Amino acid sequence: MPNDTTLALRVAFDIGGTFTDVVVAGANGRLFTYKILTLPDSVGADVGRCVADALGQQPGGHIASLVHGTTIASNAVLEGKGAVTGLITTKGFRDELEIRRLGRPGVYDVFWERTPPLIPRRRRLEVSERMTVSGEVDTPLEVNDVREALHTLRAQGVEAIAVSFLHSYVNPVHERQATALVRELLPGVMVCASSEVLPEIREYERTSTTALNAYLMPVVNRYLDQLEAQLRQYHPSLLIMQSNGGVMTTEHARRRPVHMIESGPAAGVLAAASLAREIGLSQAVAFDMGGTTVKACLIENGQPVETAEGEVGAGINLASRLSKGAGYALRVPAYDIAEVGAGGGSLAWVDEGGALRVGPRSAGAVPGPACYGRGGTAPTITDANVTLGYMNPEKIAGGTVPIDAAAARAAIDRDLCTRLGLTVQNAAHGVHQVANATMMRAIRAVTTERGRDPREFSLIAFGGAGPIHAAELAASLGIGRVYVPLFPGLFSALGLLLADLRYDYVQSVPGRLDSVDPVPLLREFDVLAARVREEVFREEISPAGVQLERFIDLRYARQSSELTLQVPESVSATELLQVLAESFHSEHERTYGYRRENDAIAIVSLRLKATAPARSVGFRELGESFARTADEAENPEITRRAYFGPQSGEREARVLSRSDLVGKILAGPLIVEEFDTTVVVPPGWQAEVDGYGNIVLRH
Amino acid sequence: MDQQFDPILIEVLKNELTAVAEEMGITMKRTARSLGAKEGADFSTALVDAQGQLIAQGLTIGVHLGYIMGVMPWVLRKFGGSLQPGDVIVSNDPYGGVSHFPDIVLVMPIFWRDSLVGFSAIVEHHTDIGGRFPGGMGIACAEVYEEGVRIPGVKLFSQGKVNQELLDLIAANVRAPEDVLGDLEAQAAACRRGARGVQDLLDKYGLEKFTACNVQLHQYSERAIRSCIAAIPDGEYVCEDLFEDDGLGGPGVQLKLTIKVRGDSVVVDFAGTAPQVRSAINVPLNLTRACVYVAFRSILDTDAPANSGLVAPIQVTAPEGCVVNPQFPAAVGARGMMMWRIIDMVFAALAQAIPHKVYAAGEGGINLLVYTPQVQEGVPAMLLDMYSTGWGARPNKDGVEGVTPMAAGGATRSLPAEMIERECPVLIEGFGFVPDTGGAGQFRGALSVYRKWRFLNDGRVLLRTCRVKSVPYGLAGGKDGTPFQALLSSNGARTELPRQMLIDTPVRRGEVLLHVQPGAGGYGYPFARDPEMVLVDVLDEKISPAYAEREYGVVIDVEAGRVDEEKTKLIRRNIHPT
Repeated sequence: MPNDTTLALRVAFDIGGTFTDVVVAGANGRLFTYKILTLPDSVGADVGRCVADALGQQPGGHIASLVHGTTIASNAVLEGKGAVTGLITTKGFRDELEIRRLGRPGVYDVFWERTPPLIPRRRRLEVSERMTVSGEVDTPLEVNDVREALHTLRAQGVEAIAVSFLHSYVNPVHERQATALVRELLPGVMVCASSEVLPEIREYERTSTTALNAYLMPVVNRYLDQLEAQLRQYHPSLLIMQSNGGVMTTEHARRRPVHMIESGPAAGVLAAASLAREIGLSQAVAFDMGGTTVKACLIENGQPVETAEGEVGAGINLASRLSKGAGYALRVPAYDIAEVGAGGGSLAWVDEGGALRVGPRSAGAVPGPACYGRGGTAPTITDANVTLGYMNPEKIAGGTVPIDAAAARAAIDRDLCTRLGLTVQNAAHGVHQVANATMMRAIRAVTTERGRDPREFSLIAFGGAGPIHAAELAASLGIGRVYVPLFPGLFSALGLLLADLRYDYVQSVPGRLDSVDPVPLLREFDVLAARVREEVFREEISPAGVQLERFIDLRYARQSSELTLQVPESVSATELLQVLAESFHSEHERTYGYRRENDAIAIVSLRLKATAPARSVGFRELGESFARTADEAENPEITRRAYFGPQSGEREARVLSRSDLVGKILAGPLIVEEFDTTVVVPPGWQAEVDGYGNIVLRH
Repeated sequence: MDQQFDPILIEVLKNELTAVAEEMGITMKRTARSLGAKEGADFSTALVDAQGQLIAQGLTIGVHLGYIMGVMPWVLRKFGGSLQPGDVIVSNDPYGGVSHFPDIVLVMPIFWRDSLVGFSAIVEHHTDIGGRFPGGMGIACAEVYEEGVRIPGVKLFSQGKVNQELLDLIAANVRAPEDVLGDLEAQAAACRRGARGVQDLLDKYGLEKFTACNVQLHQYSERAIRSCIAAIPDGEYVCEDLFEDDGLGGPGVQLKLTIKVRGDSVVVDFAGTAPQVRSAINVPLNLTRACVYVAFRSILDTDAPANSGLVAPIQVTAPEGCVVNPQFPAAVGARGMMMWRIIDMVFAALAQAIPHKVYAAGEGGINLLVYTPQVQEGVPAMLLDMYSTGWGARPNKDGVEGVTPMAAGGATRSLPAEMIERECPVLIEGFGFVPDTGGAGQFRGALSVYRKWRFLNDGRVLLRTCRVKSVPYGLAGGKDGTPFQALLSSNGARTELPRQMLIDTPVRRGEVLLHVQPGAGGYGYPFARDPEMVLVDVLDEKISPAYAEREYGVVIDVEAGRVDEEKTKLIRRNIHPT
């Protein structure tokens, strides 16, 4: 009898706009990797063919799980391709979704245009009802208003309805009545209530999140129907990556699609965090650079930092994190990923003040960088990297993409050199440096802006373009160590194999820490835990494997922003309040630089995080597998001239593969060429490969 | 010293300095106590060099740029070489470079290796500052002595030790001491964060390089703004306006400004403006300057960093003793309405020179309500609620509606009803668009936005509207916007409140106040509007079919949800025969 577990294959697939990455984990750390074009109608079947191929190579194997990361939800929002959606809201608040708290990004732009509201005014309808802040009924729900609204919405052909009433996070009874009416009168229409989606104070943010959820429900349901049908023959159930790095069942995803908006980027961050934990890095920054953007996320104590203050649909936000209002507020737990518009395809230009600028505009895949020869003529970051000698001047991606280095130089010469009065080499290096400065903002946004010193962190660099910039970027931030993991271009898909099942529950419990009774407070967690058991039961996951963590949001009375603290497992009701007070004061001091011992502490909400561990790929296993297959033959020594700035000048850099680094410590300048990326090791840095297959760069 | 322009380092340091100033803002927002700061973000942060020149600003309120530049000469003059690490200076003195008493500036010297290298600074609009009128923005004051606590630039912290006596004094004089003291603490935390950020940059670059870069950044911004000004045709552009009234219900106040563009620099002169008045609508010169700066910044194509270089080519002059350059001790608490008007006037004057870049008038500036519930004991849970309508129509687009004015900057937000209700005895009954308002045009102005409160306690209300007699103007054939209205309902009876910039009225428990802000002006002839755009507005119930026909000559077949082309053609031809 073959042992089932050794032949269990775990499949992860990450569907992006252009490419779909498929990673199948087999026995003994063996990975099968595929990169296929994304064809929307057949993507499930195409993934299925990859799965079949992997099965063919592991006779007797079977599929143990299918995990999926997708941009379907974020693309539906960005492209305005969600459902025809209606909103039913409290009288007087119909326009809230359009006004967005009067916010706007950037200070000065006369011709600024706001993203159109997700739900147009004609489908935002008011009903008579009102709760007070303490959850008492001020005005009862006028059921006839709801009926009339449903009549109007039906006439407009809505596919989904969001119900959001004031103070429903305290008392959801009116929302429940209205939702029940929707189900009764418009049975084919999907509906969700704000008190289910996000029972939290602040009406705009709650309503916006609920509207997004409704807007996505039909789209995601159709998408999952098709995908599941195409993949059912391999495995009966599919798991979906959420914005917070946990996976959920498709049943949950169908009801709460708003949790999968950052599904794609989250997987990469999760992979970085898992790697950090496994190799014992307590503090790291995940740095993911692709074709159009750079994403950064802070990893502390092996965990990615989370936020619930997001916004979606605003395009790339280069502006302040303080100013919002261009897109749609989204308050669900998500990794706190900062994003700036600087990717391989970002354009370089000279502004009216004579300064060199990079991004946020991008040449995209088409026409692409000048050196790709697909019609692009404007210089991009990739053109600068080719000109500097960092990237192979003839071909990349294992020879599938030819490179025209002369075109790169010509673009830089024409658009930048004259206006800057620089040589081609210096201008290219300038582009590289300015790009680094822009990327630094993403890293700063998740470090210094949160009161963390980047110098205490290591950088984990992945994505197609990340490892080219990582070392220099690290140097300018004072970061001394960079890790480039195995499969840097498929790292997000790999992350899907590392995810746990995860659900988050939140309950507003306004009160003060000095006057609350700790016993009922702790009991609230039990109520949330009961909800977990209900969900778990419904989704057929063994409750025994579910791990619960309790958190509490606290702030000083009359502050508006909370700090989330973990409630220790062992703490007794009698000690609880004092323990929480002390850890809040310390965390406040750590984050903002001061504490106020005499101020009252307010309780905002309780959070329960439920996770069920999934069997995961280990980086140690992957590293060992890599070591076994590493090419031990001494390759002939190849070099290439590359320019490393005015101090180091132009140098002869050795060009090698990851395998060449095994068992050695080599000093820069080096250029490591891989199938899906290039790693630049500048002078002053040294590189080696560790036991996990990572290229480790040290300053 | 002839510094070689380094385009790369410029961009790097610009981002780093801006990030530090933004970090200050985040610290402020996360730790502040007042609704205005923590939910509304009514504050600004900045970094200043040792000579008092602005080197970076956080993204917040446009006009605040001027306060910090205004207060620095006073700080340097008074404290000069005597500053110590850990000191924090506080000032709210309109005659010491600031604006009006509720706007409190904190300035912290930054030391690096024992020498003074610069300052971090933050200004915030506080809930209250004492004086005759809650909120410190009463209009019926003649002298600043009536307007609350004047803080003339004194130490709030000495070498890190807080001046508790000063705080006690402030607390005893304001109506919302928890807000004010908590926010001052948050401001100080923000300053310390800024100082630390600059010290980190100095550790990295050293003083010489840091200073050289700042000089270059200054030159860079100056060059950027000069190249924008050079694109404006040389000439003199005049705007005259009769401002609402003198603040006491008397005649309107004559305002005049002349923009003199010569080459790449500009003089904005207020000669011809009426003398200061005996009410609190006077605008201190420093703020007048800030209004001009922010208006220019708004319409010029540059995202050069906000530093002193950006305003170097702009000179602002105003006769002494005029309403935009009042002499001590003229009251200035209610300067807000005229502040917004000055910005509109700069736009209007520039419309003559660069019509393609200037848009019709918005609501006239941020409007607000101050509600002070009566309390038996303790301090009242005051509400300072700010909001706006939106932008006037632009030469190629409708005005953005339901948004802060351009010059307010990017971070200000309206307060969530649910947060207000948690902290103040009031119920927000609505916040939304008023159909059939705003100015029609080929591109239309933003609809009026109303806000409606039900008061749960007896108390007192101050309601500010920036335009009450004038309505927001249209441009290029676009119609003017629509007027404001304030209605107080009590047991079903509705009373229209007087058309005053600042209404001061008692309210009773259960009464409901409706504030309809002015709607914004239109651009271009309404009959030139694309009928499909009219249709969208009708379907969205932003305008009624009757309004569509009357204002736009567009007939909508409501049942079919489409434009009746025939009838529309007929109406449009008869009125504007081609």
